[in-house]
Amino acid sequence: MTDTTAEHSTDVFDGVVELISGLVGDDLDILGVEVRPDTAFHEDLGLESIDLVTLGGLLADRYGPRVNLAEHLAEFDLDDVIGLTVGQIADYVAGALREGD
Amino acid sequence: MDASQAREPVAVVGMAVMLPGAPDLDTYWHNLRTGHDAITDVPPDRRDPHFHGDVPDPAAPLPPDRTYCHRGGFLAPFSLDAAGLGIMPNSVDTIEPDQLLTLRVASAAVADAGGLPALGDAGKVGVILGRGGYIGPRMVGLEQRVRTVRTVLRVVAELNPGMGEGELAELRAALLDPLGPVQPESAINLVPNLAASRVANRLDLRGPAYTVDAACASSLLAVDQAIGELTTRRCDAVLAGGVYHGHDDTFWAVFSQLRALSPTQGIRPLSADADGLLIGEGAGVVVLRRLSDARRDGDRVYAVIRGVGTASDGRTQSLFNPDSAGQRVALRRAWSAAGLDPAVPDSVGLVEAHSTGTPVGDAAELSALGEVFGAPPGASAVIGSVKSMIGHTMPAAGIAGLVKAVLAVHHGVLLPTLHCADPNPLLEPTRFHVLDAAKPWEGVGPRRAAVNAFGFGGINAHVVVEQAPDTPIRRPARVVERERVLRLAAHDPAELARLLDEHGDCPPDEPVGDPTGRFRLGVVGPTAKRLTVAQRVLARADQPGWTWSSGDVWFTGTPLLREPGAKTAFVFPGLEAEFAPRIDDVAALLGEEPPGAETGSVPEHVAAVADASMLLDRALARLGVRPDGLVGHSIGEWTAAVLARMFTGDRPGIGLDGFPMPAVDYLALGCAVDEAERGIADEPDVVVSHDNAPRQSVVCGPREAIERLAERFRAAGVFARPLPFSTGFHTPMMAPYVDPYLHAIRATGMRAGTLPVYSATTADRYPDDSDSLLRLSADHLVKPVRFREVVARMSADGYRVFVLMGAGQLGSFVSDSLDDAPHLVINAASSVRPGLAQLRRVATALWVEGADPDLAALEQSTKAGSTASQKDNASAVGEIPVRVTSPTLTVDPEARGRFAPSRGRPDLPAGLPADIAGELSALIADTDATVRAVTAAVRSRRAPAIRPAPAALPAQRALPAAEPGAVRTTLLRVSVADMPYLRGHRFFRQRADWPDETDRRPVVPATTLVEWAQRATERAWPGELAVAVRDIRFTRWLIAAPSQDVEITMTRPVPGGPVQVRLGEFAAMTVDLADAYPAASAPAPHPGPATGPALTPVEIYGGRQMFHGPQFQGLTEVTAHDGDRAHGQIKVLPAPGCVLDNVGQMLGCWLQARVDTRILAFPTRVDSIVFHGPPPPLGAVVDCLADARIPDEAAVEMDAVVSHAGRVWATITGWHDIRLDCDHTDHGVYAFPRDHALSRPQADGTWLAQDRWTTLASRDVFVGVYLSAPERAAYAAVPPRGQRTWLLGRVAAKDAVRGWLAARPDEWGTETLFPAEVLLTGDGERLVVRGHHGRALPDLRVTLTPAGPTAVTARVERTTGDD
Repeated sequence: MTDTTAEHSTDVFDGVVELISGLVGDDLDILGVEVRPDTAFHEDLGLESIDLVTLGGLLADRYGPRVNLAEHLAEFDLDDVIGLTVGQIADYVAGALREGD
Repeated sequence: MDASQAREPVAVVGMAVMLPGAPDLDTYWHNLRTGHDAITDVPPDRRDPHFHGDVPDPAAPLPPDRTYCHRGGFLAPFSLDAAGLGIMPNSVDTIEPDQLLTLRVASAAVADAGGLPALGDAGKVGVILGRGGYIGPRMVGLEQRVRTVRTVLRVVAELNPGMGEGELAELRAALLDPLGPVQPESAINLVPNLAASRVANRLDLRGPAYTVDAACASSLLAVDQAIGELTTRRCDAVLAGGVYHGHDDTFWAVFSQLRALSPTQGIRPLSADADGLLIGEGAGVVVLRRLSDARRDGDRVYAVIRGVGTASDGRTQSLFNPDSAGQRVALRRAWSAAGLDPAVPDSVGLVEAHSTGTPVGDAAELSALGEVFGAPPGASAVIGSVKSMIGHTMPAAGIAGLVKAVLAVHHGVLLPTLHCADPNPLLEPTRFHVLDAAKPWEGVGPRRAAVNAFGFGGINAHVVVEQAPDTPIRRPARVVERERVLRLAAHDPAELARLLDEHGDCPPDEPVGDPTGRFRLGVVGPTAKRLTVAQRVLARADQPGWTWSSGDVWFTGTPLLREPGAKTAFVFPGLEAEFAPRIDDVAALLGEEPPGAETGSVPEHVAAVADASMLLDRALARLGVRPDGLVGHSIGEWTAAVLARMFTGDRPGIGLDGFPMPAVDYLALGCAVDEAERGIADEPDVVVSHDNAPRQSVVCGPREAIERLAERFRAAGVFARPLPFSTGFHTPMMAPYVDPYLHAIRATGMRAGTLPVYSATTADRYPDDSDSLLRLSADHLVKPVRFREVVARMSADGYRVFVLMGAGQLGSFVSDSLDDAPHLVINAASSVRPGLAQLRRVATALWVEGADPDLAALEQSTKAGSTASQKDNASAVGEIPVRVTSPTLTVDPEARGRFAPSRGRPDLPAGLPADIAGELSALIADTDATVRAVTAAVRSRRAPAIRPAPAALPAQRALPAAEPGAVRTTLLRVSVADMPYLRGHRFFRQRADWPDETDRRPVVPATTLVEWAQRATERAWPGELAVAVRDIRFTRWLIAAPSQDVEITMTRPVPGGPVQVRLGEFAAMTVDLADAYPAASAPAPHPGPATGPALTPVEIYGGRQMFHGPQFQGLTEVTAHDGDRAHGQIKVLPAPGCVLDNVGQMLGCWLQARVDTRILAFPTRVDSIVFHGPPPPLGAVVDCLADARIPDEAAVEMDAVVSHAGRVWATITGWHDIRLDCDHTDHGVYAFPRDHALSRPQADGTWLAQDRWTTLASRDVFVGVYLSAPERAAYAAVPPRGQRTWLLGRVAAKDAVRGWLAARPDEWGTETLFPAEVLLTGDGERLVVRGHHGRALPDLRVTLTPAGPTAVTARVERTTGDD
């Protein structure tokens, strides 16, 4: 991952955080969790892998079919899916959008 | 002072206490810091109303049997992990409680020190405990047996010179009976030094183990001895401490007479208004090692003991008054031993005073302290006394103070003293002051504290404690500070928020607030962060329907399980991609080996998943968490079936090994089932195998098709992940392979589950009949898993809480399926968190939802278990409550009023409705009149002097004129009312006020039938004597309640010849009539020397070797002699047949001493009894000598001779008893049903009753022990083939209920129940529990589970009362 990617990803990251916050709801406020790139999907946000299904749908709705989380995660080991961070998702989305440009 | 003279410091490496308000060290520290006042009124069960009765003028001289003080420090009821500590559970009640208390505390202290291995060579570990010679409750019991009963009898005899030996014997039995059986082997348990020896014995420590007594200085003297053992290197570690337990009235009387107790009921040490002490109790133990050893081994060192000083007062004014000169010597010796100068300004930061709150004692102590420590400029130190919180714990006072001082030094906190707003003015010139709240211990140099303990008689001890030098702790901390749990309940959110503020920082062990409150908050490990989360959660508590279950915080305003009919489900996972539950610590808690976690092959994977689930099931049962129903996912249904006993066996072991499976793969899809179906429409070989949740389905098919589909689904944005196992279960592809599975299932059989089990094949409950079950087992393998639907179905059936019996993803399927429906899903295990920590969360979440799990069960025994002897076994039999009350000498309720002027009229039980009481009185009067009339009639006919049975044939209704010569009949009304002596021949014991006589089963003794036959023939053929009775057969019990009429038929075919007598269907015999008794052929034989000790009536009847009541308790002594001879002395009592019945009892006693099985014997036949004279007179003592033999294991026989005054009275030949299945343990249940159980508690909290009866007669005995009248009627209605299992179920259920109650002494008291007091109704696997005849019981139900063909287990659970 390069710095350039990270810079380009800022907007995408905010967008992903917005979707995730919608998914998690009020819980983030109460838990006092600030969503950052290293925030873990399961461990920090308490989401299950089944919730990725919903997130995948939300991402596709927002960014179009170019963003296919299902396809992307097919290459991941189960451990990696469980340890997935918000930053990884945002990076994937940013990358997918760039490739499509 | 020369520092080089200082002895080597000794390190405190472990500690434990049980003190008022503090069951453990953590709580003690919490109480010390927060100033918890543990003083209470004397608990009702330890308060004698007379001793604590009114004292009109406390200042006037007090009678010694009174006290004016009614408060003190009392231990909460405590229990003992008897199995874990290697104590026989049935001996717990025979051991002085202080021994058990000490054992529990000592083993906790060892655990705190890191376990036995950390103490090094067991041969050099000592145990030295301060323990005064005070009387404990068990010794009080012995005193009553040994002396008080005798005294009462002597006094009663003096008051009633006319009272006969028989009556005194009755009274004696009535007094001894309530004391229970004598257990000679338990006598050792009263020996005081066992407080120390038992610790050494159970922990296998081989250094010196002994107690010391220096009154209130005992503990510190023990510490002094311990330090001596360590510095001389005779020991490498010593457990030192003290114990005081009992609060015996005599002890209180001494202090009352001395006026040492506070007349204002308050202990105010160091206060200007101190006016006396209050007595406390408890125990404390410290583990001491040489500091150099502790440092070498990297022990955690709480603090070091720098020096101990002891001194006696020498000759002073009195033994009672404390002397400050002696105290000063002790103080100076301790500081000298420490190599320190007490008078320098920073010598000490905290002094734990002995101060008991007596003005004289405080004055002497403050004077001594003032002189030794002085008040140099700049010197300031805190003084205090923990007695202000727990009372004066006597020999344990020093250890309570020492542990307090060590904790203060260790934590760097100066501690408060209660009730000292106005300090004693003698403190003013000293450097000392009292704190009213804890504060940090600031200052330079090592923190140093000192502890005083001064004993009666002028024995003084002083200990100097110092902060441990910084030592790296290399040895890993073995005892982790346990994670606290905060549980709060309130009726409104504001109150809940207030409780959170108050208790958040320091959660008590128990829930706080009104337990009925519906607003409930649980926080596990309340860190600042979690408490903040909790506050934010509560801030929204007003929002309707707001709940929270995340971040180790749970909250609700609508507890799910408080909803009527709400149920809890256990959900059993099948194979999942991830399988790594952390449960080894859970296994350790249960004393089990960690389960395997192999997932290499399908059989291994299946077994590992099931083993983990079943371990969690056992662990949850220990917490009291039990399911109302079960469901499994895929092969998780097999686990559910095993636990519901649908399958036999303890594991879903249907032999998967080597079983065939199709070569197909699974693909998990992130979509609903209809989308999955659409996606596979063009793949004919692929089917949907699982409808897991709205967002997950699984399809199955050949690998190539699955790979194609994976790509296609992903391209459409659907998550698709092949599963790492391929079994083909739940698909038609499995069909060709199903047979071997079904064959295996059929071989073990399937039956209705003991709990509702839900099938994901049908999305409904499993059926009950075995054919349907087998069909469904086949479908389960070939039809899809409809998990989403079955979860919805359970929700509709009222299931609200779903506990996932594993660590995987399955829970998210349940949540996803239930969406907005109210529910709680929680995993019983985690892959990241230790198992016990996860169970703590489960318990907390369930508590929030309204359940009452026992969180403490997670903490027990990890400590004790690690220190107890090697004999520790896996069976978690559970904690045995320790009875701490002294017995009260009282006559058996059945005997009350026996010597009242209206003798024979028992007092009516209190609380009877007036009409019933009236009827009863009339009935009793009527009966009396009948008996008197009959007695008078009989007396008028016969010479009374030689009649042992004046009412031999009472209430004889008719003596109809029979045909002359041949046959005579007479009708006899047999009832307890007409024959009160039958009260002494009841087979079964019941509660004293039990209204249903049939439940006691009064039975006419066989020998009474013989005497009735004799008397009836003598009456039918007047002038002739019944001189012999032959060919006697006893065929059925003649039961006297309900009353029945028995026809006595006498046939004399040959005039002048023998008479055939038949007593209904109960007995038959031949009676020889003659004009005179035949002479005996030989003089009365001599028994020769006895070969063993004599059995006394106390053992025979007190121990209920014989079940007989006073009316049949004739044996005064039984001895065994060479050649299978037994000799007995029998007092002649009035009941008919009593002498010969006692001959039978003697045979029973001989048998019980001789064999261990089938020890319950009843006569079935006698070849002949020849009488050589008239019955011996009432009150005489006759001799009986029997030659006994055991022809086989089902019988015992004898020939016997009964002599009176040196002449043979009766010769008995061929007496034959049948022996029933009953070993000594079973006999204990028969003899003392209230205190024993036939069933055994199992590790999982259930009770198991196993068949032990090879004959119906044997079983019938326990039908009577366990069942009450309505239950016996139900039993009789059960087809004979099913009766055994039915009975076992009732036995297990009653024992389970009784065990459940006994495990909750706080709630249900310590009174034990007779089995008949638990009334069970209902059929099948679920029984409703009610109290019988006035017994109040909680709302419970019992679930029965067959455990094989000859055993049943019962599980008891609380119900809401709605179902």
